This record gives sequence, structure tokens and C-alpha cells, in this order.
Amino acid sequence: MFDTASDNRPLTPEALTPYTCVMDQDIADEELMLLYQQGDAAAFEILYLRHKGPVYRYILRQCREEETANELFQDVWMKLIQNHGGYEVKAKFTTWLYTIARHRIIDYYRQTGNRGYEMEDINPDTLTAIEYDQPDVQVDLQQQVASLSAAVESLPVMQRDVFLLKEEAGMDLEEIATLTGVNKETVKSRLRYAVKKLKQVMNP
Amino acid sequence: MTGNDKDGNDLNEYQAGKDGLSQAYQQNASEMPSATTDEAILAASRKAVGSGPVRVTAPFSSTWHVPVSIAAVVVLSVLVVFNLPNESERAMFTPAIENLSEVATQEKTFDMNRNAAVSQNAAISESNVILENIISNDVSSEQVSAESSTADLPAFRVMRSITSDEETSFDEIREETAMGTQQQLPESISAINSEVDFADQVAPQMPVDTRTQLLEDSDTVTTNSLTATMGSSDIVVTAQRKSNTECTIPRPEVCAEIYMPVCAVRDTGIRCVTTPCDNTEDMNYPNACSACSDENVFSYTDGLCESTNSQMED
Repeated sequence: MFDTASDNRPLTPEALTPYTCVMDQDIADEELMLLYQQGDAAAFEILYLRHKGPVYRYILRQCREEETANELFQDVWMKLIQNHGGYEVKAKFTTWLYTIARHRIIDYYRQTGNRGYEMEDINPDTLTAIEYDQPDVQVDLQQQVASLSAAVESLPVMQRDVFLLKEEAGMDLEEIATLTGVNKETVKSRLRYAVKKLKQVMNP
Repeated sequence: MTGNDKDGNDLNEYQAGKDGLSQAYQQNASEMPSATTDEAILAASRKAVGSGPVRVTAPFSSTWHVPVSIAAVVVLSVLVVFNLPNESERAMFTPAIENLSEVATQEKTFDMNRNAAVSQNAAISESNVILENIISNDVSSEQVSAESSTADLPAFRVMRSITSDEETSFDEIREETAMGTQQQLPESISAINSEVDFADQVAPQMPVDTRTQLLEDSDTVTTNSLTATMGSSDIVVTAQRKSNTECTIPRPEVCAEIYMPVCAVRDTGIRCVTTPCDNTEDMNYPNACSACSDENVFSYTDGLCESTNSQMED
């Protein structure tokens, strides 16, 4: 279907095209995106290599299934590729990238009937209580607390979202607030609850 | 210590990286997308730009439209003069090619190119003076407007229209123009001078096919300059977007979740009694609708607040 070899090689720096080695590895994301906009496919490879892991894990921790995560992950990058012509440097590239990823996850939640992202105004305490009261979540928690990753996946949706944007995207509270459309105090509160629960898992 | 204090300390320790949570998470975070997914995405990325792997060159600028618009000003000023002889050149070339000897035609071509080169140089000098004045800020916006009227160049006309209703926007454009000119003008002038020298030297020996090609190239340059002018318009649009927009009443109650960040001016609610103080603050909102839905917001500008990048995480 595609015009490149599909030899299942892992995408490492060595696996990039020979021409990529001349690229300055320190070029900012935004400039790489502009280069790609000008037709530079190698610039995209560098961008992809930089962000594929964090974006993939951001999605995987939200949907919890590898197959679905790969599907959503591919959708996100395909959307970015489709819209590369309209890219403008108005904000950080990562803000744009994770906005696309977040919207795709919200669509996924809606398709699967999870309304977590629409519970914006519910007090985090209440939200926690609601989710922990659900029997399947309780079972999940008991089964998954073995690892921190599983504990992250067990967090309430909004707390998990904030924690992952902090850990995987490396965003600060202000950036997360802008991306998620809530104020900074709300972000701080959600992160505080997430950290508290994860610490309980680390130090029971 | 209360529960809230402890939670607050937990958060501070986490943000400072002192509690090991972040490190523990990162140690476990090693999942990657499948190789098939990698290949599919990279193949699509190459397909989208219609190429295989391409050699990457250093970017000439992080914002292409500024230097392009500057080049447009220079190129357009040349073409205003250069296009006039082009029309007569076409009319004169046709009978010359058909009826006159090759030598006579070459002489005419040489003369016309030389005249065009002289005009080109004059246009460049004129553009230089205007642009250098802008760079050094020796002229006011009103003076530039007046000169724009004389020059009658599309890019200047746009700048003049901005000046008439948005002095701030004009200043922004002037600053961007100055920065772009400093970077690009020497190269543009050098390139044009090289072409002029080339025309002087080569025209007498130029065969008919080459002259025809020259005319076609001229048309291409015209097309490119028009494209570049559109780049200038983009700057103007950007500048206009930066202007303040007042929120209207009634305020929106439901907003779509679209990320087009704005920087809003918001009433802090603080009222100083003894000494005057600023009772507003800049705050980022994901889009204009959500900004205006906040009853404390007076107005907004497109894009993130300037202070956003410098603000430290607390």
C-alpha cells in the first residue's frame, strides 16, 4: 500500500534515512514542522522520532489497549500530516500535537460511552468517589496496582489526563490549563489528587 | 499539619522531582508504537509532501513570510519599472525575430536589457532608501505613508491602509519589516545586481531561444512576486488579528472545544483605595468564546499572552 519498505525495523536514530544525519538534532520542533511544510520529509522523521513514545504512552494509558492505542496514535499523526499545510507557529508544537491527541481520545471516549472528559466541573473528590464506587474500577484497581503504570491507568480520567500531560508531554501547569481549557488552580488540584494516589501505590 | 497542607507538600515535592514518583514512572514508561504503525505514518508523511527522503537544509528563518514580504517589496519595485519595457519588448521582438538579421536583433536586445538594468538599479536604490529609513526608524509612519503614496507599490498601499486605522499594527509591521530586511535585503540586492551584470555581459551573444526564455522567466518572476505579495497580506492580516477585540453582550454560554488560544484582559476584582493600581490581568483562554464567557473578561487578543513562556511553573 505504501511506497516504502515494510521490514518491521524499529525506528531508531540509525534507522532514519541517510540524509537525516545532516540535520541539526537541536532544531526546534516548530522549525522542523515548518521544514516539513516546505516538503522536507526527513524533518518529519525527526519530529516523529522525538514525540512518538510520549504521545503513544499518553494514548495507551488512556485507552489501556495496545491495539486501540496504535489505531488512535496513527489517527493523530495522520491528522497532523493532513493539516501540515495550515500549520502556523502560534504556540508550541507540542501544544498542537497533544491537542490533536486529546481530541482524538475524547472522540474515542464518546464512541465507547465513557463520559469522563465531560465531567469538567465536578469536584475531583466527587469524581474520585464516583469512579471508585464502580465495581469494575475497584476490581481493576486491585489487579493493576502492581505497577505504577497500571496505577496511572486507574486514575480518574481528568487526573490521569493532567498527570500524563505533565509526565509524557513535559508541560507545565499553565500549558496544561491552556490545552485543557480549565484554569490553573483546577489543573493543580487534579494533579495534587493524582500524585496523592500514586504515592499511596508507591508507599502503601 | 492538615490534609491539604500535606497534599500541597506532596505536590511541591513531586514538581521538584524530590519524591521519586516521576523517576519511577519514567522507568516504567517504555512502551512504543508498533513498527507497522511507524512505517505507515512515515510513508504517509512522505506521500503528503510528494517525496522520498529529502536532504534537510538549515532553515533560513523561523518565519518565512517576513523575509518573503520584504523580497516582494524589492521585487515589485523592480517589476513596476521592468514590466513596462517587457510589453514593448514583446512587440518589438516579434518582427525582429521574423524579419531582421540575427545581429540587429541582438543589438536591440542588448540595449533594452541595459535600459532595464539601469531602471532596475534606480528602483533598487529607491527601495533601499525607504527600507533603510524604516530600519533606522528615521521616518515616522506618516512619512512612510506619504512615500508609499508616491511609490504606489502594493505592499506599501497595504501598510498605508493599516497606518490609517491601526498605528500599533503598523509599528509591529515596521519592526518585522526591519528585522526581515536586515536579514534578506543584502542577499536580494546582490542577486538582482548579479542578474543585471549577467544581462549586460550576455545579451549581445544571446540566441533567439534564450531571449524567448528570458521573457518567459520574466513572467515567472512576476507570478512569484504576486505570490510574495500575498505573503505581505498575511502579515497585515496577522497584525490586524493582534488588535484587541471587545467581548460583546450577551456573553456566550456554550462554547465549542476548539483550541485557538487568546490572551484575555480580565478584571481581577482588586480595587485599591489609597493609591492607584492595575486591577486587570492577562489570562490565557483556549478560544475567544470561552474568554468572553467569563464575565470578568473585557477583551482579548489572538494568541497566547506574551508572558506565558516566561512564567515559571509553581
